[in-house]
Amino acid sequence: MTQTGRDSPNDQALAEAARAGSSRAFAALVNRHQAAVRGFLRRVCHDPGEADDLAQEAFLTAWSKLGTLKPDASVRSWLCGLAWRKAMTARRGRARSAARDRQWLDTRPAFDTPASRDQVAVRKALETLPDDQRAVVALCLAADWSHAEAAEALGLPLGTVKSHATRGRAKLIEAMGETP
Amino acid sequence: MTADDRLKLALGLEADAPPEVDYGFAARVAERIERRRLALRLMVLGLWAGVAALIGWVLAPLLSDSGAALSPGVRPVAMALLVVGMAWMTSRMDFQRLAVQARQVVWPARR
Repeated sequence: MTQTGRDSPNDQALAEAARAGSSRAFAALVNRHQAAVRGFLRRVCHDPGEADDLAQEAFLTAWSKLGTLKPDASVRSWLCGLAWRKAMTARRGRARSAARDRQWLDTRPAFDTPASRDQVAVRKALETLPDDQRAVVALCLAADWSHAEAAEALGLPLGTVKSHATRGRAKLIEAMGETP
Repeated sequence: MTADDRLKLALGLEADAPPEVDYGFAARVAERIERRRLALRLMVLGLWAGVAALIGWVLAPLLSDSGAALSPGVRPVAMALLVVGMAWMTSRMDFQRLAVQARQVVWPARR
């Protein structure tokens, strides 16, 4: 999913129009970036329903904070950054239910295809990753974002993103029973 | 299949990807935005109504003198029209510019 071409000046033009009060321009931005934001949140949250709720919240926040978008910034990175902060806030609120979720995951029926075994192993390993590292994995390894884009979205230094991606990859590959 | 291919596949399966175009999602976001926009408008309107009421209160002695000249049946209508008119006028005033000018009068050196 290569999306570097998406953040064309068009995005900025739409953001400018939305800032001036155009609902249609903002709806166009939502349509253009909803898949990226929701896909990212679904990987981070694991619950598609919650991820979509958070994505709506993120777009609502984006609408009210359009004035803070820098002229040279990537709209997609900015939106995913807002979504990431929403996810972190929600995560703090539901720390207690995490243990219950893990318990449920352990009681799920076993899959017998190699791909689904990998999926379960990767899901479990993802949950053990620190928040920042999981977000970097979701963006760089799953969604093919560049390290620079992920750094911009998550507000992390480029070097940190690179090391998170390397360590995250190693842990996930190890979880699948391979040698990193 | 390399380890990275397997990882890529597993991460792809990990999240059921949302559709590239989802008008339902966009409509839900638009609905929430319009709701918030309405709440903001009501809040601003309430603020202006408060300002108008304050001006009305300050001008109350003058208004009561003028009101005495009106017949009792017309007074409530005149008062309502006055409040609406004040709310409209105050909402059209550029208070930010007014504040800047007032500051320049108080502190001429500051810009």
